[in-house]
Amino acid sequence: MGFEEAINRLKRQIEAYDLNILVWGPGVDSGEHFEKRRKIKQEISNCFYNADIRFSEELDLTGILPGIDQLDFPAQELWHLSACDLCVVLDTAKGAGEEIAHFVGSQHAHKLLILTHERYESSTNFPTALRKRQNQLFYSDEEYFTCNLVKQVLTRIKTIALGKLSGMKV
Amino acid sequence: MEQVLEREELIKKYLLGELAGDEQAEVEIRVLTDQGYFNELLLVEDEITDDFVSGTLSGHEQERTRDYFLAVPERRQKLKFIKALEQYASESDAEDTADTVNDDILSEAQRNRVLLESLINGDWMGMHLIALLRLSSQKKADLAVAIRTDDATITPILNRLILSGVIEEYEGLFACTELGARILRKIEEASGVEFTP
Repeated sequence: MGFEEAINRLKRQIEAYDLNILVWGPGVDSGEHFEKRRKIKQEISNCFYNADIRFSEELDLTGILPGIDQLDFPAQELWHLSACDLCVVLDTAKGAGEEIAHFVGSQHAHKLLILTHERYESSTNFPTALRKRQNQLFYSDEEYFTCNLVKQVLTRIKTIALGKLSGMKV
Repeated sequence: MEQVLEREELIKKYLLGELAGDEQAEVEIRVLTDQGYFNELLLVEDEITDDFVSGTLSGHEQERTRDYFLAVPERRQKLKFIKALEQYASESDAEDTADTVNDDILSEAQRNRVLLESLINGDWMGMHLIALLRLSSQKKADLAVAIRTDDATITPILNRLILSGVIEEYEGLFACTELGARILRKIEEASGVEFTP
């Protein structure tokens, strides 16, 4: 088998990889931001056809974790984070920083991919560790309205799939 | 007080299936007819479940709990919930004191991502290059010809591979590092795809 065929086979395995992906972000009443969140979900689903992609509000773990609904909201979200391979956070809503702060100390923080507008680059909403370790990316208006932001997300997912396939923490 | 303890002991024996037939029937009738007694039974149920999770029951009681008490699905559900809560609590405790460990995890994950991204980069051109370089060291121009591209396209890809440590350059000659060979082998083993010409 030549290199190109080998690479194509690997690409197909990555696209077919069984991943659990969460997309956190603004709710349905937030208009265009929710639409962007929905688009990110759709694009991931188009590229990774075996991935289970959910909005956090769609995720119900009560079947496998009886009583989770009795925990407080941050505790429930920590369970969600522990159950996924990647959590894309579209950071357009006030308060997202506070929510994320709950998880930064957890051993699952490396699964976060926070997308923040570049105008907040100097803000200290999120711990610097996330920025330093590329768990927080900044986008421009242009990137937001074109496919670039989604492209960055898809590249991260390919990396996650390749890492999981090879048994590497990503 | 003594009576309460005796009652609880009786209920515990009932829940663990250790009463004789007539005693068993007596407790059952009381559970069905006396709300206060039923509430006491629920409390004893919780105690047994807690003690089972924390391992403070005697060996015999542990065994009876597993074989008899937990045969009831609702009690198994309760047990699962308590175990989940305990795990969550212990993880939270550990997390409160493990900031440096967590930064280690973030840092390890980032290092691995940078490395893997350098392989995926340029529509997987990085992977193609490292596979070629594992066979033999080559000059940039030869690599460009081998993967049918030009200098401007291949240069940033090679730079990223060098930065991630999977290849190195010496006097214009590019070579696969030990780390690069190890990663490639890992990917080959995991995927069953071999990168050989």
